[in-house]
Amino acid sequence: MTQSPRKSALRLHRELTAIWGTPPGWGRLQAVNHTIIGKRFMMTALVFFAIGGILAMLIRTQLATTQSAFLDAASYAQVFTMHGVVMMFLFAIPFFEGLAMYLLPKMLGSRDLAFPRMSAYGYWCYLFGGTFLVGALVAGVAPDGGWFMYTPLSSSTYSPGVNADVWLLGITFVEISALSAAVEILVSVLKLRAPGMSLTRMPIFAWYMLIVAGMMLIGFPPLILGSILLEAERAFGLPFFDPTRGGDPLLWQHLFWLFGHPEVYIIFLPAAGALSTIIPTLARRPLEGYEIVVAAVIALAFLSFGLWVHHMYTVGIPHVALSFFSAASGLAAVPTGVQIFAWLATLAHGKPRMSVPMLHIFGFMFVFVLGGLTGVMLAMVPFDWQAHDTHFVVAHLHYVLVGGFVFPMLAAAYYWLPHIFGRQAVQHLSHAAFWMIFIGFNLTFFAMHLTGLRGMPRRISIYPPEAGWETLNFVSSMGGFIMTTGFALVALDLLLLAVFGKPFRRNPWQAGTLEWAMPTPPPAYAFASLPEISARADQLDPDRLGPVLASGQGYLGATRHGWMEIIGVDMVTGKPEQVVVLPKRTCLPLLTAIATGSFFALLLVKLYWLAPLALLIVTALFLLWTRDCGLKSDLAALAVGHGTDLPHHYQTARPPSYWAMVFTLTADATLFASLLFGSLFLWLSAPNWPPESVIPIDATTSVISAVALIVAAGLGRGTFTSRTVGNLCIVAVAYAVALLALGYVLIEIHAEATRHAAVASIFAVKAYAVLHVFIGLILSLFCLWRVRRGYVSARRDLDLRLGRQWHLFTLTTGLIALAFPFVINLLAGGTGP
Amino acid sequence: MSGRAVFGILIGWIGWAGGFLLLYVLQATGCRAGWDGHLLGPISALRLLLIITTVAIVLVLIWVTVKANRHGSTSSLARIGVLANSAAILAALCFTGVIWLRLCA
Repeated sequence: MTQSPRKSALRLHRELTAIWGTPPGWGRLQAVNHTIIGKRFMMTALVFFAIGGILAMLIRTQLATTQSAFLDAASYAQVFTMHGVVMMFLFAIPFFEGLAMYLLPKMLGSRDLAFPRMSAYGYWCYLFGGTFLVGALVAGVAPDGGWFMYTPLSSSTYSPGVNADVWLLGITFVEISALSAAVEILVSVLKLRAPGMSLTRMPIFAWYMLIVAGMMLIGFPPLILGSILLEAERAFGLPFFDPTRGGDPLLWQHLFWLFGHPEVYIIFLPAAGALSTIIPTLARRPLEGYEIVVAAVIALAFLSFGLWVHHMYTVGIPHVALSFFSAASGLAAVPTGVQIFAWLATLAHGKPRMSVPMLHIFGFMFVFVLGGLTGVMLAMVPFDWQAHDTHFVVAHLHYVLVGGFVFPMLAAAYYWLPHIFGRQAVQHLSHAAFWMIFIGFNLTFFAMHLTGLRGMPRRISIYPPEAGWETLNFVSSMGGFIMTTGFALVALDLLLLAVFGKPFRRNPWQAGTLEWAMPTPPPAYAFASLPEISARADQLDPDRLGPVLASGQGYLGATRHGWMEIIGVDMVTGKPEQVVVLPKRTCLPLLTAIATGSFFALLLVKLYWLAPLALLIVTALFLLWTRDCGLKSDLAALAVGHGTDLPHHYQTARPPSYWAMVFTLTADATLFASLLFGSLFLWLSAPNWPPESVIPIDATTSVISAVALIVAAGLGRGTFTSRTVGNLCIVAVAYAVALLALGYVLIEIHAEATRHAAVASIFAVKAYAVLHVFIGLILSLFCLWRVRRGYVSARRDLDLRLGRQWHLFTLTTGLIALAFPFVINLLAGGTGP
Repeated sequence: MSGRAVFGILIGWIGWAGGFLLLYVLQATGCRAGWDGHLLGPISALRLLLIITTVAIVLVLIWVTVKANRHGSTSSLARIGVLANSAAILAALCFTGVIWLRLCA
């Protein structure tokens, strides 16, 4: 007896919900599903946005009149610092991470992201790290040195309290989520798409997020490195930024802005991706110049890394170097302009539908273009020298960030909230809210251009009546309150939408993207079966596809062993390659994040001797994640429907975890390269170089370490043979020997490391090597355990291949670390140790 | 093949970024080493080195773009690659200051 399509769809829905769903109550703590994690990221980011907004109102209240006694200077410093920190680190990036997590699998025709547990871990780190920072504000010990935490102000000499430590440790904790999201998004976009969805058939939003994730992978490591070095200076006296001992405060600025400027584009590009999705739908016409837009986004991503010094024009850099950065800053306007003209052309050629999202798109166009123009002004060195550190810069960055992020975010919220809640807006408040935000914003920040041009510096808490800035500041403050009222109306409007909105059948905007080819609100499994894509995935017919997929007529239209199955494809062609089986929901990401948080908390309260214990617990918890992963026997190819059989991902050459390791090592290599370049920078630019004496390095330990690393990499092969167990034992012993030798060197030079930045650099590079050798040791023991438990065979050698990647990376960086002291001695004018 | 195709659309900009970093490092190292004070005819050794490096970067970018598109592929990904790589060549405009601007502080 065959079932009707409706009954068959209902049965499949029940089976898939049992597999993919998350139980209510305490079970929610186990959630790893992308829909839940994405919504949590967005909701938490909005809470932080509200906190940042309240801080902004405190700033505007303080500055509304001259000589205001509303906040004292110390409190004001905490308030403006935390406003920047919250908006940049806790609101902007996490919001679009959440949107990407929520949307990408649905737009790409998949059921989840590649590493759902990692998404959950990233979320908990973000929540705890953000709470850590905001809690410090409540306790009155929040960071107070500006959101960029410049040295020497943030050094222990000038900021002796824990305020700066809160920033350094809290931001590093939060950035775990950004890096994990970057790897997650890269692998998911490249490998987990619907069959047939080649790279050039991807919806444009996926292109944007792919490029942004690549930027995050390269952009965040310099910040994390800078934070570690500054915390090491504050906690242990390693003088990386202290000019009296061979350090240089400018090293901090370089490391910070190497992250900080791409960060602006990391915030803008996801918003632009949302606009490139929404505008064609509302214009009822495909995006004009899809290929040119993709090329423009690639160009913008790279250019954004060539601009970092445009925040440092006044520090005394030679003209020719300034010209590199000034020209690159000006050039960034070109690919930005390409996108804006593509959107305008789409609107001009289409039949735009006037709606609330469109209103916010208008707000974006107006505000962002003005911000872009003042950006080009500030990119020019002579003008920047005049406007540097004034309110003109504050006005510019708000025009860019609110224009380039907040208005698109509101457009995206009104566009996709029907998808999240399954209800459409009633829109009684939407228009009034928009106009209050738009008018309030322009009142606030246009006036700020003028106060800046009249010479008002940033970060001052009071100004004299005779300065002539009071009227403009009062206008700014009134505008700020109008804008805040507008945001309050938006919050109310969205609440009304969620509770009283009009239900709808499917696809209320008549969009052509796949996220609308599912019930709304979406089920945990997203698609009951996966589509085959034969056209660009923003020109599909969700109304026709939806019922077909719901009745299981696509790929993976049946359940098997209770597995959470998705399809992995060739990253360029979209040809199906493998069945990826995801691990089940668990509390482990939460527990691991708590342990990670305890590590940072122990550092903050200076219980340094206890912190390694927390790291060991984190390591043990990560190892527990693997308990239910893997296969204990070789499997035949699995049927996925449409007459196609595919291997289990553990039996393929390039499963998602292979690529995750590649990308993780790329971020790791960026951090290591930043450390080496930082040391080179100190040699080039820092005062008090060379050190008074050569740095003593024991050549014997270097040779022993090098031999041990070569043995470990040589025997840590990626293929399974009868000698694998023996080889892995030797690898573990070799790592143990290298660990002892390098550890000995660290102990030998640790007292000297506080003497001069040259020794501190060597200490940092060696410590990096020690950490990698330690992880190599853990990995080799883990592989040994997996082999002994039967998880590895000639066809299931993924664990060994992941280990192989790590061993080769550790060998390369380890040899560089071993050669580094000799190079530093040579550069410092010595003859070598 | 897959990795190569993705790399093909990024190669021009990877070259540009590498060139940018190389010029910045050479300029800073040259200033530290005093190469700006060594005159080779009308220009300093450092300026000559930077000009030669800039020309080499542009030539490499052109070569990479031509090589990436040597089969004249008409696929969408190939067209994106040509656009992106051509933009990288044009962005070498950033480096032209080495001809006339002051090299060291």
